[in-house]
Amino acid sequence: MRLDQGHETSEAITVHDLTKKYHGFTAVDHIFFTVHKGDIFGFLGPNGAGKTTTIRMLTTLLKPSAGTAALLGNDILRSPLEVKKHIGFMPDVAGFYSEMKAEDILSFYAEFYHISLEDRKRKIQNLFDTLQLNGFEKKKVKTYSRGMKQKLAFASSLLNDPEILILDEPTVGLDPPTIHFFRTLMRQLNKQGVTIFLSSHILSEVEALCNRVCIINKGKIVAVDRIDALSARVSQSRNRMVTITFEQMTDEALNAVRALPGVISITQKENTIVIELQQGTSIIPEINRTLVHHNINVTGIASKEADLEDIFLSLIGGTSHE
Amino acid sequence: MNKLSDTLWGIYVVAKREFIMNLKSVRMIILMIIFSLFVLFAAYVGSFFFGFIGDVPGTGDNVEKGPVIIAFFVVQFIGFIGPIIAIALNFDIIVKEKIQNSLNLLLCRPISKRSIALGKFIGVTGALAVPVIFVNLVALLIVMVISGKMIELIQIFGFLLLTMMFLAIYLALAQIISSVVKTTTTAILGGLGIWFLFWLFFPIINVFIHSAAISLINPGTSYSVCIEHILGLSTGPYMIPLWGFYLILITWLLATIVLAVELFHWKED
Repeated sequence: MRLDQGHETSEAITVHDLTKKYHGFTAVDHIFFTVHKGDIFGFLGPNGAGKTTTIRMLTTLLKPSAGTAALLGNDILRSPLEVKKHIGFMPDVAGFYSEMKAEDILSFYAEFYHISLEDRKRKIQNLFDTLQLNGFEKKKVKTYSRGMKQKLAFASSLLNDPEILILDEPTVGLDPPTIHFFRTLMRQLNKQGVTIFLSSHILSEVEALCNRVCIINKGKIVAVDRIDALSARVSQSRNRMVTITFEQMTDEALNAVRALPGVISITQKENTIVIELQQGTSIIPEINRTLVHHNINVTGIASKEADLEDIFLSLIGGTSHE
Repeated sequence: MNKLSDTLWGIYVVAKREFIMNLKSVRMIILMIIFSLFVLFAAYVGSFFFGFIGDVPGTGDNVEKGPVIIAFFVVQFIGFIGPIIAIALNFDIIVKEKIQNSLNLLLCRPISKRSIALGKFIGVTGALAVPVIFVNLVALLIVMVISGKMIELIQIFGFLLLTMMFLAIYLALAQIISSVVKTTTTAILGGLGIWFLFWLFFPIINVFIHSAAISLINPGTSYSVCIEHILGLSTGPYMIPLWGFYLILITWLLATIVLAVELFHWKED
């Protein structure tokens, strides 16, 4: 199928039946999804799920065994150079020419985009400023720390003012301030209109940044949706946990709650009970009334909605350790 | 920008970086010191051997031939040390990028894998050409001063061009190895294997089967015969016409370049 549509499209990325096989092993198995312009799109999956393979195909570093994809309407098979002109890519492991100065490396990469020497110098200085690497422009990359190398890789992905930024585990191994810095930068770029495709293991990061997520497992897409929609889907399909705190509990009150329809189990720990309710039941007001009726001084009721970790584990078939 | 100019631009950007980085590298400096010592030593020994310096009287024939006979003597040394220099310079040109993970950041630029491979080859060949041409010119100049006779400009040009073609074949062979292996150790061993193949294996096979065809396969043979021809020292008749040796050299060069480019293009890492 041909996905070339020129540049005028509302989709940033369209993946159609994308497949990658290695010697009989299917790393990516006929996947379909769409990333809209302006999205911060989270790409989640356990190790070996096919995330990096998918990203390598989207960035044209790897040829698909079947299917194709288009970025801003440019087909990855038919127009790989056009694709690469409009994207920025930060790989999971970014290596540099260690014997080169950082600014020379960026200048080398920038030259591919036909950026004039003057513009290159200005742009590179801006990037060093933005990424807080000032003063290290003339240092060789072999003297850089891991965090600095990650920043330099990020800078290299912004040289061409990309419309789509593809980031493969950008914050792995970084300290909390640098992670915070990266997240802030991603939000800023997104506000400026950059579509971000973010592959990450850090679920809290995806939850905090992304408006839509795609979950891949064993090479297949398990879900693609907004996080709140996935949360609702997962909540409806699984038992709900309600946590109640109190000053003092009696056996009589506990038995009364246990007898309520929809209550599966109750676990007590000091001044807290955790009640497991059947999926779809909504009897929290009834529980509260029962406890009050038995003169229990309830100090708090919390019903936990499914977060991204619950969604993730539920969809890939894992178990929560909470 | 159209596709062709984009492609050419990409090749130029990669070639420029390889050229500059190689010229500035410690490895190149060391290799060129070794190469210079070999070439200048060969020029000195040749001058002495053919009676242009020292007490050994030169034969009338050699003196008549003048400095070209020394130049041809130098070529025999280049034929030995040149491949080692070329392999040592280029054995890790691709594998090093794989190991240090710098390939992804390069491949995500608007450039094809073929252009990267070709750009790297051109860049490193250019970088090697600078000192090689300089050292050989110095050696030829010394030879001309010693002998008091000039070598024709076309002969100098031919000598340098053929020498660079010969070295470029080994640069491309080293790049082929570098494209297919996963470690620098394997790349070094592969490079040494190539050198042994042409400098030990082929001559040994030749001894046993006495086939001139075997030596025709060796690019060193064609290089030597072509230099002989360009310097006016041809001692034929040969098994094939003289132009055949030029053709073999050009075929070797083109085939190894194409193979280096295509292997890098098709190999998935």
